[in-house]
Order: sequence, then structure tokens, then C-alpha cells
Amino acid sequence: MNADRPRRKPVIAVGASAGGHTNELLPLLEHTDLWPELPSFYVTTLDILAEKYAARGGRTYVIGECDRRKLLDIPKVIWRSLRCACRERPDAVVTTGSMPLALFCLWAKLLGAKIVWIDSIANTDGLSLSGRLVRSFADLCLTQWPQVAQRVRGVEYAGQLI
Amino acid sequence: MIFLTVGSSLPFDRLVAAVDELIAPAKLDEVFAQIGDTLYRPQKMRWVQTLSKNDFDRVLADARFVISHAGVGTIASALSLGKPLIVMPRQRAFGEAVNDHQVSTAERFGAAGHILVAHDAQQLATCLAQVVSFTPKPRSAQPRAVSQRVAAFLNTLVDP
Repeated sequence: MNADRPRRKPVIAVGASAGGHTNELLPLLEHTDLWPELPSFYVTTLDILAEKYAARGGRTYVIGECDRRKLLDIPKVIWRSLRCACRERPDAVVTTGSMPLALFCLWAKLLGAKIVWIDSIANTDGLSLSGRLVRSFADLCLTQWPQVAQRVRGVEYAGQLI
Repeated sequence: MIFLTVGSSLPFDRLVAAVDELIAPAKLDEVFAQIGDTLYRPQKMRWVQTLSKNDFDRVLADARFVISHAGVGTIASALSLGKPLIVMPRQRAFGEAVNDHQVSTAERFGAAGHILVAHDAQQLATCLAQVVSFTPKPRSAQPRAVSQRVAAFLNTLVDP
């Protein structure tokens, strides 16, 4: 793992799966003025979302969808997310999930990135499956429900995105 | 126009069929639906499988009210426009989702007065009668506070 901190501008990746995860990411992106650097590129799962990100002016990668019901799609998502992580070598990833972004986080982490995982507001009583996977290696893991932060160790509550 | 959406992928036959069958008895005006991979073919409304995010936002803005699954994206979008929303959560028992997180999401948002919740066709009929006089309680989220926490972390990555 890469222990060196980036010297100059960090390359920040942001990403979310299609659907609610994207609705949660977009309000966060309205407040990136607080960040040390604006996002360098976007990662999403469906082409129909690409136009939304393209309008923001960054590079956009579409890595495809997979979940517990679409296991056959996993190799495709692994390949696309791995290729994106290798090409961009982000210093940090900020994501609202879900499983495809968890895979992207894993590759990025192995390549030295710091991971900020914000679990979806849809998970009111505990972390999502992908959240539970990423929590083991995330550098900052946020939930959008105080009761989840109380229950799950290493998870913080900092507010709700939507 | 009433907008029915079950998201852009997973099927939700129970909700689409329930709305289709309630159009006549509940005297609903024009319904337009995004049905994803739902197998049921609506008889009494116009439908598409998938809308782009931009088209989705346009249809939502035009809608008088919205009927949907308990996806947080749809709930947040409807609330941000102040659109009354009736939600039917997907249930694992019917093979509509991998778990019952939509049931708890619906209950949280319903209890806060943001949405009306129906668990079956009968409750949907009741909600359709209530929706004309329902004003969703506006929601206040804290995206800036979350971004601030993320920024505090990202700042630790930058050399002073």
C-alpha cells in the first residue's frame, strides 16, 4: 500500500451508482467548494447518468451495474472499475455507493487511495452490504442515520444528504 | 398528469398492476409510467421502460403527484419539488428487492409526514383518496455539514 501522501493537488474521484445513490451524491457535489480540490473525475454505473456528470465538466467513467441478483455482471464491472482505477490512480475516492463503487474503492485502495464511503440514507438500521464490505478498509465511513453510527463501530454520522 | 415510477431497473409488477387497475375506480386522470423491467404491461396508461435522468426530472416537474417504490432518489426528488408522493415499498417476500430496506425507508419518511405509504393495493386506493389534500412536510437535509466532514478528511491528505 502506498503510504506516501500526495505532494501537490490530490486527484479526487467521486462516484455513485444510478438511482438513489446518485441523488445523494449530487447535493454533496454542490458543496465541493469546501474541499481542498475539486473532483477530477466521476464514476457512475449507467450511460443515462453520464450526461448529468458530463454537464459538470469532468471526465466520466461508466463501470456498469451489478448486485446480488446480477452476479454474472460482476466480471464486467471488475474489469471496467479496475481499468478506471489504474488509469486515473486517484488519491481519494468519495462515494455514496453501491456495490460497483465498492469494487472501484477496493482497486483504488490497493493502488494507494484513501476511501470516503457515505452509506445510503436508504439504510436506516445498519450499513448496506456494500457498506459492510468497504468499512473494513475505508478511511472515513459515514452513515446518514445517528442510530447506525451508535450501533456500528468506526462509523460516523455527519448529517443527511437528502 | 400523474407520474408512476418504479425506478429504472428492477421489476415491480405489484405496484404497476395495482395502479393500472385503480385508474378507472379511482377516476385518475392521465398516468404516465416508468416501469423498468416490470413484466406486467399496463392497459390504461402510457409507459416507458427507462427515462434518462434529465427526462425523469422534466416529467416529475410536470406531475400533479407521484406514485413510486420507496427509492430514496425518487423520494428526495419529489420532496425537493414539493410534489405529493405515494410510496409502495418493495418487499423481499414478493421477490421485489434483495431485502426489506424500502419498508423501513418508507416508514421513516412516512412517519415524518414527507410521504404517504401504501403496502398493498387496498392501502393504495386509500392513499389516492387522501393525496388531493396531502401537503408533504418539507425536508431539511444537511449536505453542507456532510461535505464539511469530508473536507476535513480530505485536508489531511494535503501537505500543509
